[in-house]
Amino acid sequence: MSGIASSDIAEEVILKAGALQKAIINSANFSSIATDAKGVIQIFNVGAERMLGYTAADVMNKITPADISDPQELIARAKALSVELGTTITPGFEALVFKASRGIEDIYELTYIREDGSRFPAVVSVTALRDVENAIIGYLLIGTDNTARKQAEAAKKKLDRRLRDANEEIQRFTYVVSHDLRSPLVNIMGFASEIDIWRKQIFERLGALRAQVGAESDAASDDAMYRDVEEAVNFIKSSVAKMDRLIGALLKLSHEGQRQFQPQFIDMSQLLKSTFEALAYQAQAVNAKITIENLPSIVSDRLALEQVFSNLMDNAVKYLRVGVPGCIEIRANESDDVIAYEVRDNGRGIEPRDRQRIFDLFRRSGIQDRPGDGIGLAHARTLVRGLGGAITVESEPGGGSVFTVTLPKTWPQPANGTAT
Amino acid sequence: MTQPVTIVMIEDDEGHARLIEKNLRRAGIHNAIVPLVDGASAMTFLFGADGSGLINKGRPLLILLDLNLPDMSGIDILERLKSNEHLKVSPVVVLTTTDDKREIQRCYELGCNVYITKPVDYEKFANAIQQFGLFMYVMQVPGAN
Repeated sequence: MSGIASSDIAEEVILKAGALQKAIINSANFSSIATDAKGVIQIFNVGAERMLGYTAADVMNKITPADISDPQELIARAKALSVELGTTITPGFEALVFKASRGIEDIYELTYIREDGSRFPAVVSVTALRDVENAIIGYLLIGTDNTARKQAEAAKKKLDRRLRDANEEIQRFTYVVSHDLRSPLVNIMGFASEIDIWRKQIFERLGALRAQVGAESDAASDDAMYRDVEEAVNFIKSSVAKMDRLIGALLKLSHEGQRQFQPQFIDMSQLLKSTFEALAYQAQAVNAKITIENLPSIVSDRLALEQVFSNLMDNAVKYLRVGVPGCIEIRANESDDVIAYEVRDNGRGIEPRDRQRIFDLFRRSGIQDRPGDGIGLAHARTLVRGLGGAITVESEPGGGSVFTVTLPKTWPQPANGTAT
Repeated sequence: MTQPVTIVMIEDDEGHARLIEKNLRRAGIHNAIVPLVDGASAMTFLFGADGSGLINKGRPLLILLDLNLPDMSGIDILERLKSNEHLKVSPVVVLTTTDDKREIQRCYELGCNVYITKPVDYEKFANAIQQFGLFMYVMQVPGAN
């Protein structure tokens, strides 16, 4: 193909024969409209006839392409170009070809109005036609059908909206359910505590009655019963307290799910150092050392990343092996458009069967000897996914774990972006 | 004419109502408590059959209001109370499980006098109500002796 195109002789042959022009004019899939310098249509090809419903005779030497374009779009385009180029551009044919007349390549979306009044979305490429002295003698507007893309865009918009609605509904649902679940807990906790008060009163009275009738010898079985009731009440109370914490966590998650991410430039070394400072006391208490390498910066949501890495570092400090000095390292690997941040520890590690589970809400791994409700990693995963990334773990039981958070270097802020 | 304060308790959960009452009594509050379990009966009691509120003109009321009622929002009741010429002087204490910041803000904007959340932790709950009972001792209510 390049052999022919680069051959001057071949080019001349093609031009002389008018083959190129014929092909353009007969193409049914592209609308080709050529005008004179003032914009009056001179050529209106088969594709233009087919797409726009006019015959060449209807328009040639009569109107300009501006007359068959959406007038509102012309006004908007003239306004935008006036601002962009710092000169006043009238919302007529000038708006369609001004850039091309200044030698600027111009391709844009345009809505043509068909002969029957219906609208036809096109992508139009505009080129100035020049004579041998390089003076503009006209313009060529080549248009392709943009309907499919427009429809796809509309469908996407509709889907985005549905997704957003569904998301909002889940948030509202979580919120309402959380509050409604809390209400009965107040009663369970309240009356369990009241029963505990009566327990003491009842057994005091029982003791006093025994003393009155001289039946102190049976008091041992009263003691056992007293402790049984106490145990039962304590189970009720600790379970309610746990349920309250879980509901609180759900509420917090739903609240944070409603927050829109705010992308900004983040110095990650700085972020991780300040996040670690909040943990310095705990780390010192368990003899853990944290090394933070120089980390590549990122454009993402600061609060979300603080929460993610604070959770990972907190876990690293929390689940060390007893008697083994903790060694926690944070480093990163950068590739074209993503950065993988690693939080590596030499702690107790995670069994293979638990490596997926730990990212599920309310699920934990290993010996349950540390406080926690199984929320941190689930939350971290939600945040990382919301930021277009992924979180994974590699681990060796008894040998430590590596949590890898892979994030796009720049988190885009789509017009319809919702945090999920 | 002066008379003792009547406590109007608008609370749909009977358990909560009992726990609140118990702890008020423990704090030494012996005033009459009128329990109302839904929005409709609260509206009738407060504003009367004619809805004017004249029925409670000059009567010393202290209103305990839960926001999550089955038939209407406590916020609506609060709004009606504070825009009624006879009832707007009655102190309204919002007593609810909701601790949402926007909700708290909204209630104070509408003129609620105190907002107390009901904690699940009973020690805190009992403490909150008893503290509030003690506060009632020193509180002046329009029309009361």
